Amino acid sequence: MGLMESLARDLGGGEEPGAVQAVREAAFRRALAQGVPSPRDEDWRYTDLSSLSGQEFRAARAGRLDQNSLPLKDLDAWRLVFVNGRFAPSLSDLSALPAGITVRLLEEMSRQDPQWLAEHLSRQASPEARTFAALNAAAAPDGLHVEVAPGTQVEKPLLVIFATIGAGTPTLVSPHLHLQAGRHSRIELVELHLTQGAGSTLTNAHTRVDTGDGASVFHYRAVWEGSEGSHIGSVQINVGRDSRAENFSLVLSGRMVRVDIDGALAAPGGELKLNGVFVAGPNQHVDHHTRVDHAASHTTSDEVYKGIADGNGRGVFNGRVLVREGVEKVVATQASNNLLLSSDAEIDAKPELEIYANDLRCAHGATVGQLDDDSLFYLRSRGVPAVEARALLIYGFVQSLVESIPHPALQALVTARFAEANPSLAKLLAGDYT
Amino acid sequence: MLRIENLHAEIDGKPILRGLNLTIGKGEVHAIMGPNGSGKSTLSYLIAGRPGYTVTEGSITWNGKDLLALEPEERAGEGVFLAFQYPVEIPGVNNVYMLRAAVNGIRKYRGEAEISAVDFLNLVKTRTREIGLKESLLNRPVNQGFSGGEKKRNEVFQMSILEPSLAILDETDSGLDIDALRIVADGVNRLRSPDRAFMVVTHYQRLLDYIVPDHVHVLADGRIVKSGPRELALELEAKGYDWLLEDAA
Repeated sequence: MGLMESLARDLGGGEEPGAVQAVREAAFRRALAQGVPSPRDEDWRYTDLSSLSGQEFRAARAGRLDQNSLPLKDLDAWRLVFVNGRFAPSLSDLSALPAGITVRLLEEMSRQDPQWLAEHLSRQASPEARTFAALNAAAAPDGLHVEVAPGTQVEKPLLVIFATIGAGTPTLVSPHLHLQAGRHSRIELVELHLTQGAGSTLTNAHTRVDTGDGASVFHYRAVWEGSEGSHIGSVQINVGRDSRAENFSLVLSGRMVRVDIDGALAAPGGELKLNGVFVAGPNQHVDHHTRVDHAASHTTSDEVYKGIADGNGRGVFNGRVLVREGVEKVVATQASNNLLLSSDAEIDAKPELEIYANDLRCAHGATVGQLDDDSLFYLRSRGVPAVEARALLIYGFVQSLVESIPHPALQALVTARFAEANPSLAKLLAGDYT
Repeated sequence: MLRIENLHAEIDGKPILRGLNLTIGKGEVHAIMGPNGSGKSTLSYLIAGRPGYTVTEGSITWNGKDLLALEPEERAGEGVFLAFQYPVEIPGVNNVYMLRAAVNGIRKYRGEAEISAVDFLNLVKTRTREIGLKESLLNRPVNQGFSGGEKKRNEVFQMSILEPSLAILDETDSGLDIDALRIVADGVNRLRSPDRAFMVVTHYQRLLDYIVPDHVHVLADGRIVKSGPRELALELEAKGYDWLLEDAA
């Protein structure tokens, strides 16, 4: 029994209103029609899902979370926690949420406004929807819909933690998140995916961000799955007129991680910034596919990704930029820099530019390299032990990008990951000598 | 005491040093001069332990320790410091964090306790003033965006923090204007002490007006071809190196 067949057993037959059930069924049919991608699909050339499709994943039931080990405790934020895709009110803190933000659960919407939910999910059931986005719409038991009223400046980030709890047998969790930022609003969204428990897990997450005209949205999305945790995430960002959207994808750990980020610049004046840092440790596979669609004139995109692979870790960066015919004054830049820490590590970096317009400024570059021997010798000649010199250089590779995140707690999440691989690093980066 | 005996070294099968002998005692300043390509930088790198060279014969000992058997950081622990001719720019690695890791690495090697944050900070402040390093450079990535002069000053600053017992200055004067040269030389002279040995590698005698050596050696074709007192440097300035090369050949 394959991935789809085993999942089919868990779908349908619920108590949801007919309209919602119908769209879930349509989404599942869409996923079935598309099928599980294989390396024969150009988009999945470097990422083989056969290890997943051979497992009998079952949709997760309720799970119990070890609250003490939740990261980002220091982040001053409004906090929502979902465990196995379901909202966990006791772990969440929405006290004093400003009037301009409305937070709704999809499960709630299913009762209150099934038509809205059906329509909301139907985008993921459309003929263009990709397999896993469709599967998410079919399977997500709950989800979060955040609406920011026009003109609202949200002063603290909204932190959404999606925890997947392993149950020993292969478990599928389908988190779902939608942010609608109203005109001239501003919000920071921190989305964190993590795994607890034992056994194979698959998190199939879908996030959509719609920025209204003149809005600013800063979206930090971190993936820290367990050694048996796989993660497939799709992020759709629709950038409104004169608005600015930033996405920072941090993939710190996971057995098999694939993140698709689609940015649509369909109105003039839209700006999209995509940053990413990923680490593929031993036995880990991390694949980022970004697509930026310049469908309107006077739009800007800027993309910087840094990847590190260690041991037999494998990384993929595929960055597609499409500039449609007839649009003018487009600026699109992209850089993908990658670091290999062992001779068994591999990173495939592929920029893909599809330009059908003339009036634009476009730059892209991709590098794959190793730690610089001269830098290593320089540090060691000063007396820095080799292990520490390597740790400093590895973190140094991503430092500027990580420290561009304006929240120390989020930076600390990244340094914690680096310190896990290089225990001396935490001490080396401690202290303040400014 | 630094003792180099019959040192033969090659890189990628190409011989660079061919039987070099050199002895530098504690408290002494020796200048190594010579034409480009004579092996001056190779000699500096070999003492500091840069990978990539093959020593086919001979030895380098410092205070009786076989340096060639030690890793670069262990040599630093033994008191060796190399001020690079071309200091490496290291993006993402903070200058001060690097230095603290260096100080503690050396202390650990010597079985000493780590430096306290307060002591380290005070040391950094004092040395920053003495060397005239811009404070804004302290928390920048190592050498990144530094001017040529600032890089050299940073080398001497690092040296003044690490207080090596054997300091090698590889063409520290290159790229410095006269004011920067004076400040760098002052920094070096301040470190001169009966316990500390200096090997000053330079192409020009100009630096030696400010860092006055006890001995001058001419390195040519991988060997010391002439040694003498500081006046030898002046003679080289006047006559060039050709007359020595002919003698050596």
